[in-house]
Amino acid sequence: MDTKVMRLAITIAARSLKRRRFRSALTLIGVAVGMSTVVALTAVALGAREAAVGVLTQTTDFMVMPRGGSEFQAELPESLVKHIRLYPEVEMAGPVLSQMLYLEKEPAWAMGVTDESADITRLSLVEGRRVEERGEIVVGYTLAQDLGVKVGDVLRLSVSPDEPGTPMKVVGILEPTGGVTDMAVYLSLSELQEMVGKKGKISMIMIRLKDPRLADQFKARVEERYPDLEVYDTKQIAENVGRVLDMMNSLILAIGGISLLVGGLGVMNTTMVSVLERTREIGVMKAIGAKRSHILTIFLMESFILGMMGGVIGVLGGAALAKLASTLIPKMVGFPLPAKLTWWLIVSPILFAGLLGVVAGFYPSWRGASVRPMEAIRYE
Amino acid sequence: MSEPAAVELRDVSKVYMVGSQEVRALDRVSLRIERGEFISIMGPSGSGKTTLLSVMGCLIRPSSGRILIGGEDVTDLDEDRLAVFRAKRIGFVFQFFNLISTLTALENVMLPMTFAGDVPAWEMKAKAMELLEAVGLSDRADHRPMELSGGQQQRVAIARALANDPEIILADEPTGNLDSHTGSEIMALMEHLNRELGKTFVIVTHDPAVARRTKRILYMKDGRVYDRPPEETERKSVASREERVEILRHLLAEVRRLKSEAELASPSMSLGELEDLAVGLRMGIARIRRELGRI
Repeated sequence: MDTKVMRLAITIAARSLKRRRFRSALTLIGVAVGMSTVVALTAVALGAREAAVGVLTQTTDFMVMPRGGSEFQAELPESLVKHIRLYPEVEMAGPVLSQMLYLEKEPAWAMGVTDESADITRLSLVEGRRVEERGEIVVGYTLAQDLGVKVGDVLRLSVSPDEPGTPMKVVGILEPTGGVTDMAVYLSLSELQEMVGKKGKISMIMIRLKDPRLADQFKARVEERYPDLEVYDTKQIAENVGRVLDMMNSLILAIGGISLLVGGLGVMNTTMVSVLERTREIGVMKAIGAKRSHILTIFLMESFILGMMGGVIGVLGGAALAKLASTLIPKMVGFPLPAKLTWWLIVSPILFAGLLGVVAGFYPSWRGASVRPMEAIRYE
Repeated sequence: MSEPAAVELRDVSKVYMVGSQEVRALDRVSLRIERGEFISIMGPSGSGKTTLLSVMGCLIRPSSGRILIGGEDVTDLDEDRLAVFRAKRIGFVFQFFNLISTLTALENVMLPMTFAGDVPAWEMKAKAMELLEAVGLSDRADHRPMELSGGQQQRVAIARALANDPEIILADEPTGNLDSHTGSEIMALMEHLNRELGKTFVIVTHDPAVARRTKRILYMKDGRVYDRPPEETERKSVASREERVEILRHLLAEVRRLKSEAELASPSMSLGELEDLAVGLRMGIARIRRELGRI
């Protein structure tokens, strides 16, 4: 394409959009609203997938939890650990209590653990050592970065953001996993139980089997003896979570499709009006030598810029929405949900919105390109 | 054969179909305009002079006949070729100036060069600046049309018409929207460009004062071109007053029919049909005015 014509098209498009500020703004909002919904939902879904898959697969192979419950709300008697440990297939069994707490008023996922449960997890430290006594914590990588925490610092851990909380000494920092453990705080089980008033209670039991091939046998025996319990293979859970999230993706696609249609119609309408009110100018440009393709370029540029700018605003709005969701949802449901923005989640909506602009603007621009040069001498 | 004419029309007709009725906007017109001429075309509205200008400017195709610009037959060129031809060989000056409102004076002058596509970008700007200087507006280069007076806008339009060094400049009522003083200045500018640069000017006007300043005047009436004013009285002797009133009644009915057709014009109508309607209406109204003048 001729660069001089492109430059002309950009000049004319930018100035006409600026001149019709109000109309352009409305069209932009039309594109941006849909785009930001899709971006925010995708970011939350991505975060949820990573969090769910991450925490489950990275920490342990098998877990014992109440049937149908989730690890965040589960309540089991701590004494159960002893019974589970007696099964011949079990090499190690470690209790875990998980709870939403606040570290320096930031939401954090507190995990009360024992030495044995710490042994079972595959998490390693970038710095320091694991929790050995009360009053000590190990902090997840992202949380440590957010708070600017070093080993040796003393931080306040509280049940609600308004309480002064208990001073805790940081003794270690976890390696990044990309999952919820990045936002977690590990402390001794008994201390967490006291803090939240759940003495003798745990959320789940992490299991290491002597041989993973014994899994089916172990599962069958435990579930027969304790009908209220379920033995989870974390890989399988990860798959199930993945399936749910895939459904969510279809939902996002549907919402995205509808919002694209609406945004596209907005761009189409604006471009059509733009063409109609500039019929005479198109006629003049054709009379003094513009080809059909020149006029097409000028108006397509306008709808492309509209779409693209709508995309940029949409991504910004979507990022803000996702951030809002990742701070609000934890407070409502009691477990952290980090939204995740990847580079393609930023770039592709903008490009896509630009493409949408071109597609939606094509018909009106074509109509514009078909205006006859005779329009230049039309009488008012 | 002698040097080719700037414009040559050979037996050109333009017929519009208005409903079932044929309107001859141009009726077997043949004419030659030599290079360097400064010529005007006069005639009442509806006589076909705008159609003539549009045909000469390659804006519309004739129904029959050939058009040669600078010796080149353009009658059968396709849409894009015609656009390039217009960009390079024809300059337009319009009654309503018709500058692009979002572009500055300088950018407006650069426009035909941008469309023609064979002038390098740096040269375009220098050339446009030179042309603005030639029409006395170099200090207004960065102004938008809205910020210029009518006379200034028309000067910019003339500079734009000169951008690609065209053979001919076609001006459609160039002073029609200006006060007489400014109009006279614009005429002086065009005279100057004709004298100094040897540009061919064809000026359509119904203002005798404008026409008097040109070196040759063509007259138009009912789609035909004459070298001298056609006799206004020829029909008066033929038809009685009663007959005239009858003709008038007829015409009025026809215009009324066209008007209602125009009001019913739907988006499904093609541009061509709409245009034919508009032309038919305008010519009908003009004829009624003329007939009324005679009664």
